[in-house]
Amino acid sequence: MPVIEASHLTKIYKTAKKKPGLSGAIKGLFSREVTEVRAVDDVSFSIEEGELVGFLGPNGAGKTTTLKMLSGILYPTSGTAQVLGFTPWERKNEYRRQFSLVMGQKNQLWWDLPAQESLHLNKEIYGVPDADYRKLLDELTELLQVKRLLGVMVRELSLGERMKMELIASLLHDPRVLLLDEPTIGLDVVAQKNIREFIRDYNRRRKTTILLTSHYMNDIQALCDRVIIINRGKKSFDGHLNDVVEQFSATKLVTAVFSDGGAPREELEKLGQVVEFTKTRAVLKVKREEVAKASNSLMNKYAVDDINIEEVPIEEVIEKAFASAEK
Amino acid sequence: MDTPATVSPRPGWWKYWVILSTRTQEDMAYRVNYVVGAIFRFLPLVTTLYLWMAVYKSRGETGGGTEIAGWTLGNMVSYYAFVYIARGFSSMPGMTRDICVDIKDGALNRYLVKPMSYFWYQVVYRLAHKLVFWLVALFTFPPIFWFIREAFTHRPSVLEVAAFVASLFIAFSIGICFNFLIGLLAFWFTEISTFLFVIMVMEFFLSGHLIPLNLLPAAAQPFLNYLPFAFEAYWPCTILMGKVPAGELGGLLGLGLAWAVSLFLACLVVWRLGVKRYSAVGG
Repeated sequence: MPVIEASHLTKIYKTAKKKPGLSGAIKGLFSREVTEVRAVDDVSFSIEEGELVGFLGPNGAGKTTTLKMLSGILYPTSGTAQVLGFTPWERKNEYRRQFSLVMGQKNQLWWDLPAQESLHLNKEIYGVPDADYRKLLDELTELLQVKRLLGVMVRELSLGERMKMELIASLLHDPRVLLLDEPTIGLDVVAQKNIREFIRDYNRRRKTTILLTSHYMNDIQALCDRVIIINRGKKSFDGHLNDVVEQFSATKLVTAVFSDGGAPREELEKLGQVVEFTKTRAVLKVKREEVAKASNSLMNKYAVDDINIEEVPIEEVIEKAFASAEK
Repeated sequence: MDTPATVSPRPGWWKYWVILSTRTQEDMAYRVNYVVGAIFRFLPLVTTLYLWMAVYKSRGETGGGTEIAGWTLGNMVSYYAFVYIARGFSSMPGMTRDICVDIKDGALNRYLVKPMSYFWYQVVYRLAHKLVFWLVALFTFPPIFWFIREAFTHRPSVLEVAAFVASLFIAFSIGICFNFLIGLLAFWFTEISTFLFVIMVMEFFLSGHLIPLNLLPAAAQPFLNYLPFAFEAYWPCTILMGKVPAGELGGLLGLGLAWAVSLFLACLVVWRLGVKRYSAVGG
């Protein structure tokens, strides 16, 4: 039985459209034109226990709205969801005790107190027994290397340190489902890497089911085997990260290094799209099914020192995947 | 699926006790603010008292007697002093605005996803604030009361003191529930800061904070005296002044309690409706 099961989730926001200027504002008092925004549009997926799934999409794609429905903050306009066998928006305490939502841009720690006070407060809110709390706190602060910061006022912590404390606060009740919304947003490269590694290890060790949104490709690449891509509220892909490339990229990159003289540009353009061109080096974007033919003819016709065939960088593919969902 | 997460054997209210103590610690970080606030909050009292002294003086000089609506100058002075005590329980500075901000910027989410109640969270939050306030007031109030000691001509009976204490509890409950309710309006309206100001002034006036309610037009009194606001300052003060006959104390406190309970129930209902709307339109 899947831990998270969403079927045909749809969320429509209604917003009143205001016409420009003062006269528009006055007209708006009497009659309002309501526009509907389909933030999430018929999205279905299911996630098994222990999976770490990346939720990918540009800003405004509907990622956060989906997470809010799964955490019970929002009701869907239509469709259903079950998490751990609960309907999230009924907000039963038994459910709320078993999951956590971390939003990278919102903090839950108390600003004017040392982090340990907020952590202790969470322990009490979730009713974690003393012994479990001490053990977990020890373990988590050790792993994230923030033990010495427990007594520091939250407002004096760096953004990265605060995020680590946020994570600890959300894990103290040993949730079975962890929903992470942009956990690395705004962090420097080192802090991003730390958080990322921690999430991966945590998922492996505890088999906690994690659904993570990010718009940093690095996060997703490092963490998730499976990704769900949504754009404009619609799901456009659900599967293994490598398959994204297969599905959305019809081309590969062929790099040839020439030993002398190189090749005439016009000739190369017959083989594929020329991305980079110098006397000694050329990069071509070649259709998948023509890669073999193209590299053969390169090697036969010119003095080639080296030839290299690669996938198009994943960022570029994702961009394409986003674009294709818009159609 | 494996066994559900273990839950500590502590009772349900325990978490609110911990919030209370944590919140008190956080407030203590601002104790200097409280001390400064506690001293300067008496400045308006000085001007109010001078005003009343002038009123009584000119009335005496023009042959109007030494009483206004049956109150001597001493009564008036002790009323305003007691108002500071009562409002120390019923006023909830910043509460409505805080709730509005929580609703508007989505900070409410962090309470919705946790196994806790936002209402009780707010109650202990304010309770903590009051605790620190009174900790400071224990040092700042006595000298000021000593300074105006001659005004306190009435020696309250045990019954009156008991009724006064009960009325402070009612004042606190009504203050919390009323401000909570107003804060919840943010679920329905986007811009309510002007409205909040109007409400604040209205509470200031209808509670008897500005002037005692018995000085208002006689026609309005039967109505205003029995609104919940009167229990936020006017009734606690007049009880301690001995202006409420012993036989009426029970009924009066009963009415106050009924208001507190009604407002509490209204909080629960409006909260439910509000969250329903919040969850529908987006947080």
